Parts: sequence; structure tokens; C-alpha cells
Amino acid sequence: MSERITEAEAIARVTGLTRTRLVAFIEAEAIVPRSEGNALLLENVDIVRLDLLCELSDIYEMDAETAAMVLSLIDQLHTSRAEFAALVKAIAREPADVRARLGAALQAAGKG
Amino acid sequence: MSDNPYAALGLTKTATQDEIKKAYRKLVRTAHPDLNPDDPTAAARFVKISAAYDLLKDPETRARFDAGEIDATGAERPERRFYRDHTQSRGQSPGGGQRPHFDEGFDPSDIFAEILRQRGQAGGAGGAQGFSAPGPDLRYSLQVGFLDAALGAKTRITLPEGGNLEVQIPAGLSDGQTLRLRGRGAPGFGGGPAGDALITVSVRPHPVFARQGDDITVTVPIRIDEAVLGAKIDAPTIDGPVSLTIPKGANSGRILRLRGRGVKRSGAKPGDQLVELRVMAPTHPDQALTEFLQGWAKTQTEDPRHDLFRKGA
Repeated sequence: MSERITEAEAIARVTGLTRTRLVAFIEAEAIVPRSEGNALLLENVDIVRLDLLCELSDIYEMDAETAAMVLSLIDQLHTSRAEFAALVKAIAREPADVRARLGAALQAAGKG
Repeated sequence: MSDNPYAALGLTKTATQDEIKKAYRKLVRTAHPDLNPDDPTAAARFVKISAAYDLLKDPETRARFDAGEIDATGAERPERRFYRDHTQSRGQSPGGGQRPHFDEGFDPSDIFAEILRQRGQAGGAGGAQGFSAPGPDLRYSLQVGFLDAALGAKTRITLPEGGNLEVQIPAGLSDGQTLRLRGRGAPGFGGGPAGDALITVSVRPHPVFARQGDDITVTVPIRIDEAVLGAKIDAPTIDGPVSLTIPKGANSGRILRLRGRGVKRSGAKPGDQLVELRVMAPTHPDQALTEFLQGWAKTQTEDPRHDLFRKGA
């Protein structure tokens, strides 16, 4: 079940978010709202992304484009972390000898 | 937060507004949970430095704090959730790739630990973990000397497949007892734990001492004069000679108890040594003794076999 958060609710919930800023972030594709009829709808994850975007803008005086670029790097970081975690899980399901071999190889690689 | 917002930002009171902003920006880089998703302490540090910055970023508020009009505690931000908390449960990013689900609090630096942990757990887990089982126990037999078994000792057994195994003989080990050396058996399968070494011990008899549980028994010969007159002699014990008082008129078969001179098993009351006396006639009695006894015998009316015949008849 998707959350349905309106633009007005988002502006009320996110510290430092203005209508102008929200439009700028959407234009920079930092967040992609769903459109339903005339309304743009956001989800909870968009709210926390907007929190971060506003913080980056305020703390580092970034414009919307720059903040969107930083957020895309963070997205890639999260993707890599998730893939890495999936890899570890997959390895954990392998037989002991395979894990031992991979562990030894990883340790050797870590030393090299 | 810390009472001193300047300290929280690594600054002193004399810092300029520009220095405050620069210090805050630097700290955010290392403390913002979304910029440091693997650092579990980041959120707390971020809240702290943000609260400090909130107090100091506005020169007017800062002046009021410096003047003591407001304190540092009022500036805390409410709990908030960070983007990183969301990325772990759902896919989200414009055009972002697939996001496999992963556990909360995952730390990639744990990969070695994780792999090793899984190896350690593999025993008996079965299923997707693959086959693994503890190694079989290996049985050995070992002969130890009487005193080693009574007093405890360290020894080694030579293994048929080569090498040897150190065995700690506990004090008071009994004949036929089995010692278990955990993990010294055959290696496990598929990462399972090794089996145990089971060592059945037989205790060699001693020419002098014998065991009755934790008591040591020994027979000590004494001379006629020692039996008749009483004496102080040395008696052997498993710990070395101990002085023993023979009471006057002691006979063969009398048992004297040396308390606490037996086997000292850990966790048990020490055993005693039981000394059985045996009166020994001289192997080559001399003239004087022979003559004395001939005379002495004529005066004796006591018959030591009186009871024997009365009861046995």
C-alpha cells in the first residue's frame, strides 16, 4: 500500500522545504512524485529524501542541481551496499568449503 | 548534548561565524547518517553537532548563549528518520537499480566475521548450510603408575597415526576410569567440530601401597620390642615418609590411621592412610633373646589360642 502524501503535506512536514524548493528538486529529478490527476503524490521515502536535500542545501548552500547530484551518489552508495549485503548472504548459503575458500581469497586480497 | 556547543564543534568562544559554519560543514560530512550509512554512531553525533550549530549559527542567539541568557539544552532537535533507514526496506531512487533487501545494521566490514561465524554454526544446521557433522570420538588406552594415578601427573600418549597427545591425569584417578579430551578426536566434517579423545586408564599395582577408594593401605612390619614397648617409627606414605607412633602392646593386624595422608581428589575430602602393623620375629634370634624367652615362657599362663579353640570347637 503506497502512502499518499500531498505537496502541501510535504512542505508542512519537512523543515526548510518551500514550494519553490520542492519544484526545483522535482525539476532536478532528485525526487519523482507520482501524478494522479492534477495532484502530485509523494511517499514517506520522498519525505526523508527531501529532509536530506534541504539539509544539504542549507548546510552547504547547494542549489537543487548540486543537492540532486550528491543524492544520486548516495543512492549509488546504498545500491552498492545492498548488493554487497546480498552477496554476503548468498555466500553464507554456500557449503563450508566454498565459504572457507572465499574467506581465504578475501583475506589474501585484503592483505595484498 | 554537551554543555558547551563550542566544544561540540571543536571550537572556542572566540570563533568567528565563518569558522563556526566551516567547522559544522566538516563535521556533518563525517557525522550525517546519510553520508555515513555504515556508522551506527553517526546519528547521535549528527544530532549533537546540529544542536550546537543551531545555537551558534545565528549571531543573536549565540550572543544570548554567551551572556548566559539561554542554555544549551533547549536547542535539541526532535527524533528524525534518515534516508538511510528507508533505503534498506524498499527500492527508491529515480532510475535506481534493483535493491536486494538486507538486514538493518549491516556492516560490510563484518564480512570475514560473518563468513567465519557461518562456518562455526554449520554443525547440525543441515539444509542450505550443506552437510556437516562432528568428528568421531577416538578411543585410546593408557597405563599409568599407581603413584601417578594417586597424586595426579601429566603424561603423553603416542598416537598410532603419529604424534602424541598430552594427558592430564587428575589426582585420585581410579583403575578403569575414562578420561575425555574434548576436541582431540577425529576432525569434523564440513566445518563440524572435532570429536573427543576417550582414554581408558588402567592403573598399575604398587609393590607397597594399595587403594581402598581414597584411602591408601600399607602393611608396615615392626619388631617385637616395638610391638611390646611401643615406638616412634617412619611409615611410608604416597607423599613420603611420615612419623608414626606405635602404641605399647601393638599386635599384628592392628590398623593405625594417618588422617589426610591418602588420595587428595579435587573437590573431595582427602582420604586417609591405613597402616596395618605386622609384628616380625627376628630372622636370626641371638643367644640372649633365646635364653630370655625360654625363661619368660615358663612364667606365662596366658593362652593366645584360648578363644580360638573355645569358639572353633
